[in-house]
Amino acid sequence: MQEFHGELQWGMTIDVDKCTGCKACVVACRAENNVAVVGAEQAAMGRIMDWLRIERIHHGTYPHVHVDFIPMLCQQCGAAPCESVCPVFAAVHTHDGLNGQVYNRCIGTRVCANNCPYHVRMFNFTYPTWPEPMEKLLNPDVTVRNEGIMEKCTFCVQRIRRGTLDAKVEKREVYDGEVRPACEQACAAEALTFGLLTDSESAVSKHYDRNKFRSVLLHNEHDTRPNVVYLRPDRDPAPLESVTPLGNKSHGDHGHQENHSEMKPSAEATPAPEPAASATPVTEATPAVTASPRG
Amino acid sequence: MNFNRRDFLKVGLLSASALTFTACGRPVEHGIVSQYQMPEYKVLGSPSFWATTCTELRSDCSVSVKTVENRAIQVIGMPGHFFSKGGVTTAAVSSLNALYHPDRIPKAVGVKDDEEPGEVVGAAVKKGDAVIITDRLCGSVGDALVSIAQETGAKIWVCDSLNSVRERRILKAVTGRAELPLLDLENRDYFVTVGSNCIAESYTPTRTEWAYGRFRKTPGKLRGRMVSFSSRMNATDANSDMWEPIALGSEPAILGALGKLLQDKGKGSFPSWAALTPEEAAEKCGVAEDGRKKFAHHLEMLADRLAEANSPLVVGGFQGPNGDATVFLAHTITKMLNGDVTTFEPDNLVGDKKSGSGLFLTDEQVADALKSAKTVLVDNVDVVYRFPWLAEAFKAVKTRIVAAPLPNDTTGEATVLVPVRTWMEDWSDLLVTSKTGDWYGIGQPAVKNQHPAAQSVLGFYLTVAEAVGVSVKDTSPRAALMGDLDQGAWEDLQVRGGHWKQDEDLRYPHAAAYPPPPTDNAGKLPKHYSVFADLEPMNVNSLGEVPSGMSFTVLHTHLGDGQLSDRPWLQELPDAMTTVVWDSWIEINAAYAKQNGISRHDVVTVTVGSQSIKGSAYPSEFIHPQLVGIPSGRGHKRAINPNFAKLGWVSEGSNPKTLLPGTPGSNGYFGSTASGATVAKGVGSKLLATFDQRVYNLPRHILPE
Repeated sequence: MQEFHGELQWGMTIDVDKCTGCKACVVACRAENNVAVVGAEQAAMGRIMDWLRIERIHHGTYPHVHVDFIPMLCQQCGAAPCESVCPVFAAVHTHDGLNGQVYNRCIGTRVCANNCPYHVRMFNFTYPTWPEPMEKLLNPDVTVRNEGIMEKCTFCVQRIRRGTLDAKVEKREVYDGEVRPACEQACAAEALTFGLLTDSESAVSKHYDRNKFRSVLLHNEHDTRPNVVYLRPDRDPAPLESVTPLGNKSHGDHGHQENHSEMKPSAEATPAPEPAASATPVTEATPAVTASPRG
Repeated sequence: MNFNRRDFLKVGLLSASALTFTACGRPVEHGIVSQYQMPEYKVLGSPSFWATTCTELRSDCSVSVKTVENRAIQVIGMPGHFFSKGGVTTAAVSSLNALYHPDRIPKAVGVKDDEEPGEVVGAAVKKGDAVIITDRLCGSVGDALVSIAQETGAKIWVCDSLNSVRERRILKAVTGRAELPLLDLENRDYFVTVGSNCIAESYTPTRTEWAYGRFRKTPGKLRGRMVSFSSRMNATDANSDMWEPIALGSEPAILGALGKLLQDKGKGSFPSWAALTPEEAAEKCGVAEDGRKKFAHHLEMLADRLAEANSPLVVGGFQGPNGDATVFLAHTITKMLNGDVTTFEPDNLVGDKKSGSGLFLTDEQVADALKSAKTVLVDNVDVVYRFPWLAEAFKAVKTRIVAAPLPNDTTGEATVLVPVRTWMEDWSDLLVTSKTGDWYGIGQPAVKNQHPAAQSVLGFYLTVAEAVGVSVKDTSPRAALMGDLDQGAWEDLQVRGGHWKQDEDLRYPHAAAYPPPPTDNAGKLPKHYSVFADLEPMNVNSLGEVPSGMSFTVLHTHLGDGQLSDRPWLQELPDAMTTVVWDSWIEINAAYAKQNGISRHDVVTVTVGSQSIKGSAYPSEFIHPQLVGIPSGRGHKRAINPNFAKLGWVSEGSNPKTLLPGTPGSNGYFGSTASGATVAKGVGSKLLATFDQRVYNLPRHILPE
């Protein structure tokens, strides 16, 4: 079980089974965070700036092809490899468990991006421009980054700060659902759930608890301790075999009421695959690397 | 009366206190207020949230637009809205690009400074022999267009990219109602799609995505299964548990076999002209001889599952040349299995009942109508780009009136150009009918009109209507709406198209986000009608032929039919299946490409008849070997600002529609495929910007095979 060092730890679950790949989250992130458009030439050099992207991953070859859409954003690692290599401490860990990026300190060495196993740090190779009057759509709550600066997903930290400050003024805790990043807010399929992992009653904690059996921490073999938990799809390998519903048995190993109302994973119908070297399924057997909503 | 110094001080202090408290009591600066009341609530530095209706796509989702000091900076879904459920589409969010686009049409063309554009247009339309071209008819704008057409004898061509008129006619043949299908996946446990991209391209994309999420993982329910058949895997097929590739045009054969098998199981009657054995279907689908037995077995198993399922849904699409038969048979099977097809009506017109009979042009009539027309009025449709085979007929019309907010290939050919507002600057009203009640979609301005010359869309058409002699006072949809609703109900609607405090907004669900219960509005709704109700049912009686040899298809992307291609956020958004940005690609089967020595980025030429397109090859695992595809949306010729175009913000690439034959099929509608295509390797290569091979170290095996 991961220990959280601060009082708060923000996190997210991403249900890959629900993601349709519509990319509304990507455009919402662009709008909220003033993500620059780099244009055709820069894009051809792979310099697209999206803080959040949808990985289209396909398995197999024609005609036996499966595709998964995986939203990929900064994993807000508990032990972030990007932070330890920044020579000027521009990549820092915040008190509420975010991987912060201090733009004023960044000198553009790009070693953080090199060290990030998720490729979610974006470098401003050019000065971002918005022709008039398009600069009017910029969100005044978020700065525009300069040329030579590294940037990345912040979990919409401006919304987090506003929510926590409001709570502080009103002398209360941040309530669940008060802070929603733009991506989660835009998702029509409800594939993303955001909240405090340190609050066992939060929607994200409950969602995680209910679906622990299919949760995956990406690249946790590096002990990065991500705070974004992916929920594998219960893809039915043989949908023509049976219409008997997946999840017709209760599985009481989770110890939560909600478990019995959820679907049984296909992993229980078929033997679970061996844990992959680069993806650690979250199980009780791997407590040292498991992100848990228990604070 | 003794009034000493102490009493004087007491009274003085009390008065001062009272004055202080009164002065501190600020006017209400937040809370639920409506634009209708024009309150003084503009709080500097504090965001405002305007509830309005997004009209980018068909579902007219209720959204809130976040503004800061009168700048719109975010479009957010409304969780309580019965369609969007809080989600938004890429089109909705990227509307900000259109609102602040530097290329917006700044002033009217072909209209003198002292003339009212609506009156000039009205005078032109009144002369007769006019054709009105629109993407959809709904709400007050739809009623205004119908009123103009009925008064002047003009004909209307609804050239919607989703083929809704076709689908209405097919559903009328199946259900007796000329409505559109509602993909209520949240209630389904088995889902089959055939040649359809219904999740991404449905009439209600946000609702369908929400329903898909529920279909997969509804707490307390079971995970539904999904099986897809198509000639090219699209974003919908990619979400299925199993995808079976089939030859283009063979989609109805799959459904013919399934329908027959279900009929044999006593699930109702199936048209005899469509009934096939699974083996016949396998042969028609182009399955190799050694694989036919297995394919036929799959169809038998699928029929078993559909028969066992509690509430299966079968959806067909217009992807292939035999789309009508596909859609007809899919709805027929859904009806066999469930007793009915769930439908809804997103295109009610606000006003008095009018018949649509004799009002509409079909695809096969439009070219002749344009040739004999004196005037054509285009309601924000890029006719020249979307239907290049009609370009010459369009240009030959003497008076070409185009109302649009942004320049495109068609505005470049206009003799009268009327700049109009985007939905974030304008009022609108739409009315959706479902089985559970009627709802409004009230649109109100979230920001000030960005270009003073831009007309309100409804205001413009009402002026045209008045100019042609329609009594606006009697038939004005707005007036009818206002007249039928009492003031309280109207304000209630405006509140949903209103403003509320941010922290309440964040505390979803918020009461203001919910429409009032349908029963509360019963009897208060304005008069409305469906102009499509008396459409002729489609006569479908053939499975159609499967084209031999290589076929060509237009691939649909998030740029729609080109109408969203001027948005940089969308141009730089990787395509769902290929991850290409900023350019067109020529998609061919990977094995076919290898066989012919074609690699990614190689220049290839696709030829259909006398037309050809040159571009970069994208060999993929998602497309049938006998099919080549080019995406729609790019390849516009019109760039009003060449410096801006150089930045790459105006479409590069090719317009795939130029390869289509342009002659309607036997059903009378334009298709999106062509047979007899050839692919030839050219000289050299041109780099495609793709993002599918960038992240080399992400685990490919995190998800079960």
